[in-house]
Amino acid sequence: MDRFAALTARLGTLAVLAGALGGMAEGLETWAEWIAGVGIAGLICVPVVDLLALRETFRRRGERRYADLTTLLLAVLAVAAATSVVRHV
Amino acid sequence: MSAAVGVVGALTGLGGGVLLVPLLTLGFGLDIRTAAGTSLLCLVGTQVGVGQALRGTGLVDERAAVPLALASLCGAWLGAEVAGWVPRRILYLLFGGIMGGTVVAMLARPVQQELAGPQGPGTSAARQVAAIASMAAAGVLSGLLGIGGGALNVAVMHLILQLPLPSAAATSSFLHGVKALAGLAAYWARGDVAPLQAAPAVLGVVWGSTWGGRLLARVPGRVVRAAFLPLVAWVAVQMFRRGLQTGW
Repeated sequence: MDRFAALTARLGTLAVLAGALGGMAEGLETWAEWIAGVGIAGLICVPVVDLLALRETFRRRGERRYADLTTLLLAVLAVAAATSVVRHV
Repeated sequence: MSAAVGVVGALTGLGGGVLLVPLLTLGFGLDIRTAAGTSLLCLVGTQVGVGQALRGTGLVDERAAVPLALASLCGAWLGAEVAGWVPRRILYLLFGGIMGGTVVAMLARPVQQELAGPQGPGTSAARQVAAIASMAAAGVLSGLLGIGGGALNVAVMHLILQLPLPSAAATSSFLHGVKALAGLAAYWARGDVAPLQAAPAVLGVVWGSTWGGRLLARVPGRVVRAAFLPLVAWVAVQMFRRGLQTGW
């Protein structure tokens, strides 16, 4: 999971870089915006993947209380994000 | 510029929203909502960069981070709910007072004690409870005002949990990313995150915070302290100034 987070971070950064460079070229703006958007979405996933990796680490170490707290944190995060979207959009 | 914000944000654990929003609005003419959305995105970028630099170093205190992130997230959520009930002037002055108190508390302690880790084996349960309660209160304040979470995070972890400053700064960057995600969803869905406009800022912050994270693992605690104290003092002054300018 840690490797997956690192890979997602690198691919996301590369896609954002490609989007930023593409945005400078005439006629490529739509593609560039799409690629940058995908890259940014990838970067946004990294903290969630990090939390999942952390939960696995706690489980492996037998620290069940911390693993359960991490699950609770992920749930609160999901509810907070969903509530925020519903309320403000 | 965003790379510089990333380095400073990673090194001090302040995140950089306080610096980025004025930079994007005043320097690059972005709309305040787009700037706020981009700033949240950059906080996630700080976590990504610091995470890449510090993975496996043990500098992020994971056992402290999870309950504190939970308390902070719930506090920020509550803060957003009760926004409007509490006079902003009081909040700004209270925030400025806490930040000013943090600077005084850190200056009053001898440097060696300031840079040391937890005293004795592990952190006591009473300190953990106090840290969780303080982090929830800090979350409420930063949720109400929308800024300043990083300075409060580091202060709570360093002064109450007695984490060494580099560890407190690294753990604070972890908390930023988690907290920013909750707010970012709404900005993204509302269309206030423009990928092409945000891309250079995000790239700069990710690269800057990766370098900042590497520096954080190498530089002595006194360097982090020297970077942290003036910034927190500046945040305290800004908060007081806003508090005095804001009406009831």
